[in-house]
Amino acid sequence: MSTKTTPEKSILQSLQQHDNGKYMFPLYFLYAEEMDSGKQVITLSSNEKYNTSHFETSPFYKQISPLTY
Amino acid sequence: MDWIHHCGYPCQIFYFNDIVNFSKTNLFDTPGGPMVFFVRNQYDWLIEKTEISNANFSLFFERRELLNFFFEKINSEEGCHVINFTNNYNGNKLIQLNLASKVGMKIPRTAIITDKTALSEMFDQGQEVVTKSLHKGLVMKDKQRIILNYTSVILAHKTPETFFPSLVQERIDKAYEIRTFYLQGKCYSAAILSQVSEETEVDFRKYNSSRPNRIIPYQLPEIVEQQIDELMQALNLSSGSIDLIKSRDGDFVFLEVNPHGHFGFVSSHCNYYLEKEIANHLIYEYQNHS
Repeated sequence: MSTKTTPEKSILQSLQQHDNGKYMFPLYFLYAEEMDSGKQVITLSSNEKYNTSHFETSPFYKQISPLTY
Repeated sequence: MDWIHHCGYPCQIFYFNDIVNFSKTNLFDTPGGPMVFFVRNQYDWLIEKTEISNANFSLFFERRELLNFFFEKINSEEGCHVINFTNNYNGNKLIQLNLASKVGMKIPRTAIITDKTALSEMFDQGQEVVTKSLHKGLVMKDKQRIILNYTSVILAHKTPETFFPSLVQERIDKAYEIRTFYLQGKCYSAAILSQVSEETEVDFRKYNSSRPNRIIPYQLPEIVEQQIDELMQALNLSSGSIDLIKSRDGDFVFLEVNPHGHFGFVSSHCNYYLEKEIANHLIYEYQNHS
């Protein structure tokens, strides 16, 4: 676990580097993503319309109204 | 916590920093208050910008040992009631998959491999294969950046000849994802319509903030809820968040349990008021077992 990097190389690039098949981490490290710490914004609602008719006809669709609580 | 206070009962929430502060002077004392609800067990590795150090791994294990001790301690204290109690056993994804299969749940074809050849030997030609962490996954951050991993489809051109033992699974053709919060025998489920966006179709946590997935209340078939109950009892978990897939073939496929149950988005999207359910559960336990 002594991966040395140049100052220009990012941490993620260091984790993902493999030359001639030599690679020391699990496969999932290869697909890790680096982003700004402040970029993870989760939007909880949207006004966009979705076509969910295929889903809402499912017998497992649960009709719940806030008024039931 | 507000609900517990509202009902007139004391309660404490512990984050890692609280545990460290508490342990400074009271390591072997009772952590105060008759109820404890541990919310998150975060493993945030603070890393240097240019070098991956063995020290980070040592810190990780040091931290884990302290948490294990604290969990065991509060769990054995009279008057302390802990939900989402986790340990090295029930948080292990392979143990979870093994037990899920034993209780009759469908699971994806799963293997641990160390080389590229095994991929073609284990899976049919053309079968897409995903990889993910055995543990919670990679979360590293410094002040500017955060590194996260997701469940990802394995790309042949990106795959080295050999690698560290890695968890791989067949990719299930999803109709939608289901997240179920389990609390003491009850299932509260939400369907996540993650297939509407390319970004989220493999792993919905790769949020598409401009077009977020629709999340709606969902009722699992009774047989699946019974299997979840059996699984959680086998894992000795009173609560947790279960990831399932409804396949296009109509199967309910178990993926994993997160013992630290993230219930917030299931509760808010589906109006389940899980905060109140959890408060009621803790109060019931306190009244009947203290």
